[in-house]
Amino acid sequence: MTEKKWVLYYTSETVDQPIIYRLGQDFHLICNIIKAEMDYSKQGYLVLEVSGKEEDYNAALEYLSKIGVTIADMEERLSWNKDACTHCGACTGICPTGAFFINDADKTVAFDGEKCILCHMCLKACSFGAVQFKS
Amino acid sequence: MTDLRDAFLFSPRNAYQNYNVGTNSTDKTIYTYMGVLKPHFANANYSSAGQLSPLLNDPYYRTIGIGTRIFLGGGVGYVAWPGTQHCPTEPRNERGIPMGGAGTLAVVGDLKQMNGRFLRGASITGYGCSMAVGIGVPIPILDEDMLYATTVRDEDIQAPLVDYGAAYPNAEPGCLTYVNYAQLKTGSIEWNGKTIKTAPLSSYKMAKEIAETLKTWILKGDFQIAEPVETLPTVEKKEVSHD
Repeated sequence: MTEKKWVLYYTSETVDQPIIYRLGQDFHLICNIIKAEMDYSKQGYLVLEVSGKEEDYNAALEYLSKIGVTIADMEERLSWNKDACTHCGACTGICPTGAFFINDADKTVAFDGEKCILCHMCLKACSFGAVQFKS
Repeated sequence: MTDLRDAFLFSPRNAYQNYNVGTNSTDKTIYTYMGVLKPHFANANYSSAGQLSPLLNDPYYRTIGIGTRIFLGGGVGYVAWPGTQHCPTEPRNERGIPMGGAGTLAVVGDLKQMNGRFLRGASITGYGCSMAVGIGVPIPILDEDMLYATTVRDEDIQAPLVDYGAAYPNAEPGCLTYVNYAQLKTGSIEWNGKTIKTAPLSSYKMAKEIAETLKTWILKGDFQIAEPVETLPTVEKKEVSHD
């Protein structure tokens, strides 16, 4: 069983459906909601940790696309512009999971996308616009 | 830039000699010039490069004064004047290092020589716009005292931990405690039985790069070290033993 991190985007047409229940019940995926931002009348998104078998992932992805939920890998959602980064480290104190950290050896800032939970705190902490999320 | 007849940068407060470490006691996240501070002392931000910060290596401003030639934003600039808020009378430790924000520099230089790597626009959430200005100051080792001053280490620099949720906006004097830069740079400090996550606001990586660049310029003979024409306001030096 491998673990994946998905970002699911809901539209107003799909926001009323019990999608997480379906992922568990029909596709045997263990789901852990990390972040959810949605509204009955509008759209929203979920940050989800899922674990299961490869064939179940694929079947679940097919189901999600059929009902109109778009899905993205976490890494595709976040862009860290190294050229805009001054390596000050302001993001490292605010990042709750340690996804942004300072390399001890050369004092550069580094990013571990695996740990990111899309909390968006780094967006506010960075004064140089070096972190951007694609919505 | 090339179309402009003249372009120069005059920056009135830079290279703060030590400063507060900001934290937040309240129930809400606050957005300050000391960065994003989460509730209940969850984090603390510090703003100095510590042992590589120019005025901490020349605590009584013996070699850094009006007219000192410096690295400024990727080009050559000069110390023009004491910076705004320059305050040499801040209490000092046994090494002569101020225990809080003390000296500052006003600097001037030809903007056309500068580049975006060392001079960057900044937008500080909840505060406003600012600028990150890369500054490097050469410090000649005139004698034993100067040599001693430039061997300053992060553990010799104590900074006040200040509550930006209550004490700072209410202009209350004093601080929660003092923490040194070696502790701050480990990524967390201990205070009142709590572990507070710490983060810098000034790039140590860029500080090292600037120091190396300036060193290269000096070794090549491209950059002349200048004696200040006037000293900055200072205080009498504490007698220190060099052992």
